[in-house]
Amino acid sequence: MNWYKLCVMVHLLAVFFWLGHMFFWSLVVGPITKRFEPPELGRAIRQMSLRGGGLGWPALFVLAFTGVLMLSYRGVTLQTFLSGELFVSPFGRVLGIKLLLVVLMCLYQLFVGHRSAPHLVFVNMMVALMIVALSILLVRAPNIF
Amino acid sequence: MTAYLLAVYIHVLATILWIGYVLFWAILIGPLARQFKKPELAQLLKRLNESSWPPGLVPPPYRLKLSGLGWVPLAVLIITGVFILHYRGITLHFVVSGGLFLSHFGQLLIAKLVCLGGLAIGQLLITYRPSPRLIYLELLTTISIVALSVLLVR
Repeated sequence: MNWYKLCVMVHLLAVFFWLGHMFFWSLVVGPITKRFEPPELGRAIRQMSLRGGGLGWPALFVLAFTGVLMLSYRGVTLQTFLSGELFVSPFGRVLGIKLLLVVLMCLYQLFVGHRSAPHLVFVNMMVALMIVALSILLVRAPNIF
Repeated sequence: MTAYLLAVYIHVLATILWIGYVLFWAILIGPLARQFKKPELAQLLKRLNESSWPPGLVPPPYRLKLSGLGWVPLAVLIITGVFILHYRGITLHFVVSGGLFLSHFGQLLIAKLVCLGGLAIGQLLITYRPSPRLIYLELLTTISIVALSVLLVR
């Protein structure tokens, strides 16, 4: 196994843990525990999701680090990125959209984080779903564009 | 190609939900085991497992129990997994004849399927009871499956 495969594994595990945690607690655990009696118990269970400060920032850090390594393995350099040369190809344009969506998720993490945002959290989840879809297109169907 | 990409997408989403489910128990059981005595903890876990979902949106008879929710992503993973293997040319004949398992791909696939079987048995028999070590073992098995999947496709 080379370091590229190791990067893919770590990248995927970070995605799965982060999104799995976000989706499961927002869509399942939250609605269930809000109906718990006494309400303090439900609140205590919800608070446990933030043990150690939550997964958002650590996952984003791991994703950015492994993402940059994987892009460099695929021949994407800082120069092709900054000069705009990368975005000439259809692959680069899709990658650009993915990176823009990642920036949106970072902004959500920065300005909303673990605060209650009943509507925005669903927007954030939709963005996450789009990022997953674009990532699959990038690695499994590079010739489609 | 479109059906294949859709199957991969659904497979990945099911993995996300599955890991969310396992992670939920892994996060919860440790601290709860420290806070409550064993009979109280068992009662609380039973109550959690029997909570219905989604509350409010769907009439009660059609809601799932939290304990049953873990089976949904597993079922989706199996269905989409079989479809993806079929797309990659792995036929039933190739599996039954044993030809598949002579290849490196086949051996990795067997290892993945053994881990998956272990997860299913674990979910059926032992986990989500006051047993923090077993849920951590389940989490570790899930991580191994992701690692094997990467080796299979890359």
